[in-house]
Amino acid sequence: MKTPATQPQWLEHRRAQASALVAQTGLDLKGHEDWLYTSPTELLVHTVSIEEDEIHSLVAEHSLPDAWQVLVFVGGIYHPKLSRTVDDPVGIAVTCMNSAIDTHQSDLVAWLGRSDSEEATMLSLNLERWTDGLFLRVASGHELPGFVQVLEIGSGSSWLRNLVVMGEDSKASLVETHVSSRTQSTSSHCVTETRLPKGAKLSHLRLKVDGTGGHHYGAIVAQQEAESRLESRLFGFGGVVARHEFHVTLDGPNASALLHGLVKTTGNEKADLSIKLRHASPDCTSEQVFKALADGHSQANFHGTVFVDRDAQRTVARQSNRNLLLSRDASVNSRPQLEILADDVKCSHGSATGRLDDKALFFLKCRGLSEVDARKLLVRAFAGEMLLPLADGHLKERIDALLGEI
Amino acid sequence: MREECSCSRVSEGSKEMGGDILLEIKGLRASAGKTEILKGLDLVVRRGETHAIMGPNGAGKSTLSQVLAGHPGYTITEGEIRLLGRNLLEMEPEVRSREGVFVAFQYPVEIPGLSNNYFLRTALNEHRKHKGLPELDGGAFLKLVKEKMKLVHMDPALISRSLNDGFSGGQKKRNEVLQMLLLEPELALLDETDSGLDIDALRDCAEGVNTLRSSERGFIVVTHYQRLLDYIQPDFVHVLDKGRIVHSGGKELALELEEKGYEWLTAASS
Ligand SMILES: Nc1ncnc2c1ncn2[C@@H]1O[C@H](COP(=O)(O)OP(=O)(O)OP(=O)(O)O)[C@@H](O)[C@H]1O
Ligand SMILES: [Mg+2]
Repeated sequence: MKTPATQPQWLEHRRAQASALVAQTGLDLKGHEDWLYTSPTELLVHTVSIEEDEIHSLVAEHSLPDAWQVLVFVGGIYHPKLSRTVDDPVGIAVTCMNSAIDTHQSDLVAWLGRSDSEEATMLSLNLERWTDGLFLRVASGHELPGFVQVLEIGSGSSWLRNLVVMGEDSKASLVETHVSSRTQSTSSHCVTETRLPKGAKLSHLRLKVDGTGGHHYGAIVAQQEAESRLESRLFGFGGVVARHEFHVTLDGPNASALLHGLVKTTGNEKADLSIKLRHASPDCTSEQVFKALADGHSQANFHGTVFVDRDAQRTVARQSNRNLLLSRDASVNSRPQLEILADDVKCSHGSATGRLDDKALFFLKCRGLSEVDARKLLVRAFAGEMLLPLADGHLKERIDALLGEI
Repeated sequence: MREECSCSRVSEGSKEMGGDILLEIKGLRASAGKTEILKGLDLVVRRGETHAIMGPNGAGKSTLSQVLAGHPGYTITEGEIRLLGRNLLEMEPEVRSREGVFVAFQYPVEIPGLSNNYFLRTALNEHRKHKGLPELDGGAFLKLVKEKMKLVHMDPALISRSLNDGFSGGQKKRNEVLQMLLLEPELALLDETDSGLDIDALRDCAEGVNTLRSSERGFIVVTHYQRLLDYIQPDFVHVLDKGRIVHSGGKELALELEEKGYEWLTAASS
């Protein structure tokens, strides 16, 4: 991280503004409308740095051979030696945020933190504290030759901010993998921020696999202009506490967003999904599918809000939250919410929480599958909707395998 | 495996066929909650035999299917079921399946999100493992399943759909028969596999059964219609009523039932 002495004044100023916002609300937010079941303080815990050996084994395990480039961050700082990069082709820049402060200052000045919602305290805290992250820039009409992977190895407390700056009609695909020490206490925070101008298409996937001491805050913040398309998918496994936020604004006609999220919780884990999606322009489409698989004594919470502004006519917004309770002691809280001011809209939302279907389980056993295998198949079936659209490859196999561990 | 030979099928009405006893049900009583449904049912199926079970609605035919499959919702209060001499009632449903018992259910379940292909391959490989055979990989399995699908004239596209999800009635039943063809059971019970089928589907499903028929295997087909028995010629026809087999005969019994209904039999049994 650039020390206050070396960082440019505009950045120092922006961090100070963010810090002031945090001070307004404080961090003990439990009970606040957006924090009914968790509090930022639960994420900000005492942490431990992980051993060199474990870093190497986690990188080997999680870096994706089919990625175009892999940027590895350890404890919130870019690690070129562990990364796999290529020279930037024309129209594309892939670097770390710490370098981008110098090399792409005008982009950062223009966009960094600009889409953050001022009410979202943890976004402000991240803007105040970030130490590094991915900077990705795709010029108008350009397309990445493959997907970029950000691989974060959580160690101690880490604060990442990724900034994706896209040109009109550009296309990019970004995969984030957040992993942490298998046993040590860690707290990792990552915000990915993007602005999609006219016709830009971003496909984003975040996989979080925490160890038994992992605390995680992750957010995607997207501002979408006309005809742009965002697909953002989340798969969350493991850890002590996780909070996943989606802040998406459809701010130009015919923009569309697809948000998928699947979290699996076991033991005493707690996972929060918080979605704020705003239709600010007419003729936009959004689709949200969020699911939780809760086992053990774990808790999964969903709070999804769709706002439709007064002049956002002909909005199509679908939201669904389906949860599967795999044990008697697991619990799920679901709060779908629609706030609609326009009158010509098609909005639907649904929420359902159930258990594995006994009839289906019995049927599978009658065809020779053991209880364990039958349960696995049904869990996969439940998640199938989210897995199916993924391209075949290492990532899909990994997620599939993580789902199978029940 | 021995080839099917027509002379092993004894002429109509004969009660003894001489093959090993595959399935033996003796004095079976089963209840759901406090309601007794099967009330002392006896049935013997030898290798090579095909039995048809008919009987009025609510007689207990599907209950027999469920009990044979090992459904936990039914309590066996008396009697026994033996598969090749072993106590079937002590086996878990998946063990029964791997040991060669196949039950095609009257109402096949739908499992959205579970690919038919993946399900069928997993099931087949469980059976292969149990028999000490190597598992089939995706490619080899696909080849095999396509072959079997042809036998029942099943649309190949259905292999990549979710299990029975949005399948028509006929497609679901074809899918059940497909499972049977893949798993090659020793004993198969088909519960009203013919109900709701059009003529072509009926013939295809019957054809599926006939391909598997051999001197080694036994079949029980539960049906309401004599029509099915034109395609799958049974060696025995039984009438199940109020939880018991009340009458047995050869395949001509089905014709008689079609003509006279059940009353002449059921009146006597009550
Ligand atoms: N789980 C259950 N709980 C309570 N009653 C049951 C249960 N299962 C079956 N029964 C009752 O047992 C009786 C026999 O049902 P079953 O489904 O076995 O009949 P069936 O001979 O298959 O009839 P159909 O020809 O209509 O298919 C019916 O009265 C049914 O309502
Ligand atoms: Mg029935």
